[in-house]
Amino acid sequence: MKVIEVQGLTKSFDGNAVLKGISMTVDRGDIYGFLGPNGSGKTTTLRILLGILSRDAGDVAVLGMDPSVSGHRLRQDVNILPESHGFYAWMRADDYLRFFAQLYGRRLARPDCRTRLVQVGLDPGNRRPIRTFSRGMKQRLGIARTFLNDPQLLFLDEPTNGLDPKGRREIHDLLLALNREKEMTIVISTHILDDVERLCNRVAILDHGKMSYEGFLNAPTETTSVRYRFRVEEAEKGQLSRIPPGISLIERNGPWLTCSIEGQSPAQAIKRLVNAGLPLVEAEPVTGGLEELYLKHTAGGVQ
Amino acid sequence: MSAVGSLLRKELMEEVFSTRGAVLYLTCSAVLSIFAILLVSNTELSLLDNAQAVYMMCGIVLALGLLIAVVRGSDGFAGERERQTLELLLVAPIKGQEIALAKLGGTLIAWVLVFVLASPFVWAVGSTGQNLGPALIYLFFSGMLLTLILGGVTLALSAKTRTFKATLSIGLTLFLLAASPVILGPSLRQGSIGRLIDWVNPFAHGLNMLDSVVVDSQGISFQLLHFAILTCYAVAAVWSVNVMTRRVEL
Amino acid sequence: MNNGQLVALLIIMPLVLALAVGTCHAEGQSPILVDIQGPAQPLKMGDTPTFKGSVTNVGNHELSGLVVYLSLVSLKPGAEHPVDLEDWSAQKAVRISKLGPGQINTQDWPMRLIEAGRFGVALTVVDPDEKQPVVSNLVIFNIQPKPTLSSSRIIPVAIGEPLFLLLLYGLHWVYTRSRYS
Repeated sequence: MKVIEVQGLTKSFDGNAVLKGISMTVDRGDIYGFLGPNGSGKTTTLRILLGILSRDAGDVAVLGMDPSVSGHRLRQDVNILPESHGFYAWMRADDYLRFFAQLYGRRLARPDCRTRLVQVGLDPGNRRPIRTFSRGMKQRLGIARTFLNDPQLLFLDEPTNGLDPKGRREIHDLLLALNREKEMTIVISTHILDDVERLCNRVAILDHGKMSYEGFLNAPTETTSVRYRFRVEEAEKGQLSRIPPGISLIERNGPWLTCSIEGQSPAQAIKRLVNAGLPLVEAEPVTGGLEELYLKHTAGGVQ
Repeated sequence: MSAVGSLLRKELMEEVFSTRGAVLYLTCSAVLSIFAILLVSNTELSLLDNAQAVYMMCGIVLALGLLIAVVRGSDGFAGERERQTLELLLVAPIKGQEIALAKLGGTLIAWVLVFVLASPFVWAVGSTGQNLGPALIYLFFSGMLLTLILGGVTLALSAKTRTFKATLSIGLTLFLLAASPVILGPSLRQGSIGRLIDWVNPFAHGLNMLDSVVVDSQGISFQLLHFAILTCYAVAAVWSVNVMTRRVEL
Repeated sequence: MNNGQLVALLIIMPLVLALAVGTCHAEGQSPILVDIQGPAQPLKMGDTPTFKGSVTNVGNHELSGLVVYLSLVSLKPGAEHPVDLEDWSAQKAVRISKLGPGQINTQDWPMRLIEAGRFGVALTVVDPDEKQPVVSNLVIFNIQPKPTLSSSRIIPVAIGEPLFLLLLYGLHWVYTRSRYS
């Protein structure tokens, strides 16, 4: 079932075209990575999908509803963590969650409040006002707020901003759990490619208001490549020349061969290497494939 | 608690218990104290007729209340926008008008707080009790209506302007336009232009009503026209809030 | 002229003259008499005395459209000046639509004494058919000063309220800080 369907979305500000006819689809259960350079139109797209910004043209359906018409109803099942968001600095964390819960028509009991704070790694016993929180603590609190209405669809704009590596990993695990257990659809807009690689199954790349790529993350197509490292046992020199087409040797480091795979899945590549007589013992993906994809689709490369 | 109730409670907590609220109300109290002490310590002022003194004190209270209404109204949406808290309100399933209702409610509560702070001062200067009761009653209701007018107009503007500063400058300009003819004094308002300004100026209606009640001891029948005009303005202000907050964007 | 004619002239001339003078005199005298009576003294600031005014039609014809207005002057020696009745009296003028011959119109003129000093009050009547307004007698009175603002009420409020507010906010601050732990 399609949770988000966008066709030909266009938006301008003061005559300056920010979105130039983008199209995208997000299925239920996806963790969708939304990438793009600064100013590419990601935040504008998210705001239009939420119905808090009008569009100039295009068809948009979120959970089957047009946000500009049914925004009020839509926002009961959707939530967002914006990139830049303020807090009511005088509130305490539990006051903050209770306040927003009430805006969603929910009463947050004390035990539930404690659970939600613990869930994001905050100390429920901390009675200090939010203005004393660190950036990371505020980010965690913001994430806790997004779960208050048990949304079907969650938008996260730079969710791991200000978090240390351990904090990032905790948030990743939390999002993956929510996606798995509650089939929550998550759209993540971020510059941190590691987050996208770890979390997302689909990715879209926005560049200068146009969608330059949309597809599954770990399925290389004709225009993408992934890198793998293969450990071979006593490979002879001649065998290395028998590496099939579509697989390029980038570097050799002892028994480890780093290769670029194009136009086929890693499983197919491994099979072909083995058939070619290479004594493969181990294979592992090399991170950075997404980086290549990103740079390719935002640096004026292949469209 | 409904969403509007929750928002209103937040407004109240921010208004009264925040540092900004503390500074605002302490300043109000200080201004009233300074004026009251001036009334007593200055030889000529201390001989003022009670009714005159009560009327002047009521005028100061009205002006303070309206200034606070202008500041609060200007901050309504523009301030939330600047503090980056507006987006979180807009993505919640509440309408712009509900947010505006809570903001306007908060502004009215602010007027009530100013009135509560000012009542002891009005009582203190009205020692012979001449028209003291009616003064307090008319001050309260005219203040409510004027707060609704000026607070509502600035709130409506803040829904569309980008910054608090821009809205505040418009709001203060409106306040000064309303107050300036009154400051000019009765002799300058005798001409046709002066009378026209008095007619269209809601602040002038509020002050003239207090003058009529407190100084001239005139009854409610003399005030009905003033009330009617203030009510019309208040209805128009609330309507403008409703229209401007139908769709609030970042 | 013979003696009889001279006697007749001597008798008739004074009569004619008297008649002429009488007529002239009758034409110069206003048909309006206006009077004002002041309240009992002593008066002090804050008092609200009532002045009683009366307008009498002493002429033979009905008068209409008379305007009667109150005037107040300060008679402070060396600084005499007219006083704006704005804050002294809500009633500053009345109109008498008709006043028949011999009729007396009485009006009460309430006033609130808002300033100390020596003052004079008079009524003026304007008849649209006459060139000369008619002014009443001047009622002169003294208003004793009275400090009306009681410092015993004002000072405690002026000092006490800000301090009380400061105390409340201070207690709230302490209470909030104690809840941090």
